[in-house]
Amino acid sequence: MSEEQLDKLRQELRRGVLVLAVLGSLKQPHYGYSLRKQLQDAGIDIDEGTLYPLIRRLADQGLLDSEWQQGDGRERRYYQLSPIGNTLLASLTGEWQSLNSNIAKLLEV
Amino acid sequence: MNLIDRYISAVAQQLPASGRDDITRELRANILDRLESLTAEQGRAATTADESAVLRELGHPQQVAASFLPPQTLVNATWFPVFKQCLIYGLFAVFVVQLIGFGVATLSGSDIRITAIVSRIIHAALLMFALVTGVFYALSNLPATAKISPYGNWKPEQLPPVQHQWQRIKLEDTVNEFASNLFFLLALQYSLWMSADTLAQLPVSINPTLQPWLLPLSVWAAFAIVFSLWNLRHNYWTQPKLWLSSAQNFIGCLLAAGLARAEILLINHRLPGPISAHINDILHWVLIVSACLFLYWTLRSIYWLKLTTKITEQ
Repeated sequence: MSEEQLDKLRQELRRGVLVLAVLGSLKQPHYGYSLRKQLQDAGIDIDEGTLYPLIRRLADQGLLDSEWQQGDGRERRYYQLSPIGNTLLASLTGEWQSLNSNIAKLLEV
Repeated sequence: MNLIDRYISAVAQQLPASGRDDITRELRANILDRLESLTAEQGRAATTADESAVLRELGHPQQVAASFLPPQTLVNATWFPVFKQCLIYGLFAVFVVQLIGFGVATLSGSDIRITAIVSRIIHAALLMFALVTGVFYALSNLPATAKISPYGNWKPEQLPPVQHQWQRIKLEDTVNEFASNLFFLLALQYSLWMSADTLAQLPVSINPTLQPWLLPLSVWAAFAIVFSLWNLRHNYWTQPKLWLSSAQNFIGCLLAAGLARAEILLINHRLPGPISAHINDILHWVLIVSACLFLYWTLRSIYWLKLTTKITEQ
């Protein structure tokens, strides 16, 4: 398998769990750049061109609440899980853990 | 106007008015955060070159604007196979219509230019492409509540019972048969659709002694047209279709062989006698070759009929 193929498959694999990672990180309020830093620190590198539209989409779906705040002399838009987002995160977390455990069993074979 | 302002303005240009201010406001905040972080890392104020590098990393304004909008495609993946099939059918239809138009013009003795024909075919094909794409664009972008799908009502029982490649009837064969028989029928019955003036000016006419042949030939051609339309709808061979095909081809063989025996097929009103005789010689050979082809197709249909019977018995 070429490096290119591996990279493509890796991206596909990560794409599905990015939403979960973002929702999980937004239990605490974050603005776009601070969220990216938090994800990077957790080992999930996501480019800005993917992350910022994703946050907006989740907010449009009502999963995130957002608010403009002044800080350090500049305005920033802070996002945090909404009540609907909280419920969805709980369901998705259960789904992720079940999937992870099932796949782990398959990979052990 | 600094680089960031120019960048934001370029992104804004690509966004719909409804979300433009909100998206660009947030984008500016994100860019400034990124530059602030860079300043902290480097221990100095960000330069224009740093700004440029950050903006390049973020992506082309068009690309960034597109990422904030719902994905749009001319034809989505669900409709694409049907779209492609419609384009192929459309192209064949355009070609057949233009070919028949060309045939009719030739029979009427009109002045025909190859460049004009090619230009008409290209124009018609482009128009067809635009129309088909427009319809599928509309279908692909219907609201989710419309719930229209090209595969909504399919049933496994409706799939053609085809095991071998030869059982499928190729689209090009059907179209070729349809177009040639339609042209043949028009040529046989030219007196029905041509004006009296055009008829009077025709350089050739069918030998009057062949008049009794016109009705059976026309019936045969009309049947072949209907049969090719049936094949267009159900593009695979079945036992009844193979019976009909072998009978049709055998009758075609008899008709072509019978006509080939006639001494004069066409009477030329303008050209000198020897040239007219030469044209008739060519037509004789065309009929003999056609009779041979019909015989081959008859035998092929009978052979396939045998194979189909074996498949059915298995």
